[in-house]
Amino acid sequence: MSEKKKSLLARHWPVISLALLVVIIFVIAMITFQVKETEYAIVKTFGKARVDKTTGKIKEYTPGLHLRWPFIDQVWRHDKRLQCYELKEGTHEQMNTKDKFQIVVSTYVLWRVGNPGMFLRRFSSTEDAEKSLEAVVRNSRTAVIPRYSFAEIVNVKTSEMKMEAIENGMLAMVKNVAMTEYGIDVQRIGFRHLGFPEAVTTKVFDRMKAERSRISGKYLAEGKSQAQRIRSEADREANRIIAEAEADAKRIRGQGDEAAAKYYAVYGKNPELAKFLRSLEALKLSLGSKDTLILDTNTPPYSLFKPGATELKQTSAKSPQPAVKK
Amino acid sequence: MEEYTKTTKIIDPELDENSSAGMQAVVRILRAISICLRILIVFVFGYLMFSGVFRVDEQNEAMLFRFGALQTRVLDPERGETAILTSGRWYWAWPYPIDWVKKIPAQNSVTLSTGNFFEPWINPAKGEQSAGQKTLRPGTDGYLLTGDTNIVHAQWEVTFRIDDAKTYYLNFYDDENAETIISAKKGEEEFCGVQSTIKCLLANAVILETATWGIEDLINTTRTLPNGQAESLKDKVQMRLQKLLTKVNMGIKIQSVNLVSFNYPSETVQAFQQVNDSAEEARRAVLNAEDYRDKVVLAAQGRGYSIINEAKSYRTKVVESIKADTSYFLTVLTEYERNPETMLTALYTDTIKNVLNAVDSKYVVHAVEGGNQEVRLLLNPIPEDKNENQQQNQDMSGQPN
Repeated sequence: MSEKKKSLLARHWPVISLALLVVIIFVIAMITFQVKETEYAIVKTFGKARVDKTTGKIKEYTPGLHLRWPFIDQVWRHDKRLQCYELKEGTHEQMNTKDKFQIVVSTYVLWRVGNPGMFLRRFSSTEDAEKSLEAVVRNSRTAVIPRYSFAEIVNVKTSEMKMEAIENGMLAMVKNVAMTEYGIDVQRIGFRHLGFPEAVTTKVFDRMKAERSRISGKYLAEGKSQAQRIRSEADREANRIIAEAEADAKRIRGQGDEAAAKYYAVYGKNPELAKFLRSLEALKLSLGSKDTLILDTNTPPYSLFKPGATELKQTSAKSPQPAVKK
Repeated sequence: MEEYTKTTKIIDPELDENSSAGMQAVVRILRAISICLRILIVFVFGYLMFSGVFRVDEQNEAMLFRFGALQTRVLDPERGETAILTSGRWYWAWPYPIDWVKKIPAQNSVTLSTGNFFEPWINPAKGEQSAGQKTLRPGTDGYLLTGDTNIVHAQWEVTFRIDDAKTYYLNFYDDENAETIISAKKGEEEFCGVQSTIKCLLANAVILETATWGIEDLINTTRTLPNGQAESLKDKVQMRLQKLLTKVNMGIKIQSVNLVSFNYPSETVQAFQQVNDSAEEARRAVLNAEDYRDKVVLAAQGRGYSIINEAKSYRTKVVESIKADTSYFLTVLTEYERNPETMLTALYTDTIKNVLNAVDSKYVVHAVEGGNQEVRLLLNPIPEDKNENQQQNQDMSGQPN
């Protein structure tokens, strides 16, 4: 290199290096392509997918930087992650169960590209793939659901429920077809809606109202019955308490009488006197202020009204019986 | 050409001078550009060096992709190689498109709800209810079927957190792309992103679970199994959803599942209200009965105590009374034995005195020989009410006595 060229390079290195950098970037961009971790990539040469010579299948490129022929090679990419698709056509489809119940269902699908080579051949866009998937899923839906009775779809007995079996049945049917025919890996099919046809909902409402009415009456009857039971139990309990108390009281009174009886023996010393004293006591207790007493003058002290009352003589304690009106 | 140049030089010497000056100006401009380029290169180089420095926020986890391939590195020798970059240190990446960093909000909680089990114009969060709709249209009016074939409306909510950022990002179509698709289709809604997937799975779990519950249990949101064990609707939906998420390996962890709103179809609301009223009335009847029970039983207990205490009192009284009587008897007996006639007379007259003193109404009739005489007496005359008489006197005189 001559001195003149060296000095030119030294003087214009920024321009030259920048130009070189631009050229290098341009060239690299032309001859390479990136494959993301989240996507499949296939190179098509003149529209034909490049084949892996060792396997004989369409070559799938791993994530990273790869070479390609500029203008000749085209890179086809598709996201390889799972995505959710809710069926659009016939989203809510009416169908019959095994026992001829009409139900309306809609489903969703979780799918990803399973075989990029086949997917590339079959579809030009994701929308095309979803349309094909939709048809397959609808077929499986109409094939599987009528095998089950309504009680196997909706039932309070968990053991009799077959909803998961229905979902798995649809998945098994779709999975095989989708993978072998379209290169789509279906991971899950599930119910997004489960209901009745519009006309049936009115009848369901009527039944629900009748059911509520029955439950309402049941509540009232139960409440009344329970209240009556509580009241009768309360009465029984009260009677029991009183009866027990009276029994106890009788026993206690008996104890009192038993204890008193021991003292009655004392009256045996003079029974006549005891009888007389008890009679006097009874007389005292039996007459009150509101009683009317009619006596004749033979009764002391009214015997004093009789003539000769001032003449004292020996009398016995025997006295006439007064007439008493209570 | 050479000849022409020479000719020109010979013809116009001033032009040659001007041309030289022009060249010099061009050279000067080129030099200036060269200097600017140098500065620019240094600046760009510096920018490239420093723009690659980044850090990860506490609530995020990040992944570094080089030419699209996920890069791993050893951050903690004990844990070995990892693809997840966490907070607390600085990282460096080449500028795009060589390297690019995906940050995932792994520590943030996200809440999603299923609004599709209500009529579309109803916002259950605001307590709105539909007004007397006679039917429910499939595809428009959302609802759930219960295990006993009733219809209910419900809104469920799930709160989740990203548990495994790598699985979450690499296994599922992210919402960034979903948004792109939505805008590309001029607003046509397209379900494909992670959030739509979770909504679908939540709806799926709710449908499957609700279809096994009777409406009474749904109203209570709990039920008792034949073995006596109780289970909650919320827990069952959460378990079912977690099972679905685990099956499809989403890399997220459910924090909670909640039943935000629950309602009956508008056509049946009144019937359900009637049940509530009846239940309330039944409860009131039972409460009244319990109140009656408390009163009656307590009154009986009180009466029982009273009976027993009366008996005890009787026992004491009868014993003490007989004691006193016997004591009295013995005393009287002693005196009686000394002087029987006098004692008996004294006792008799004392008693007659007391009795006659106590009785207000006494009639003494002269004893007739033979005892045959007619005496007419008005017994138990109506007692005069003193107060009444006083009142009558006041009325008549106009002033109190």
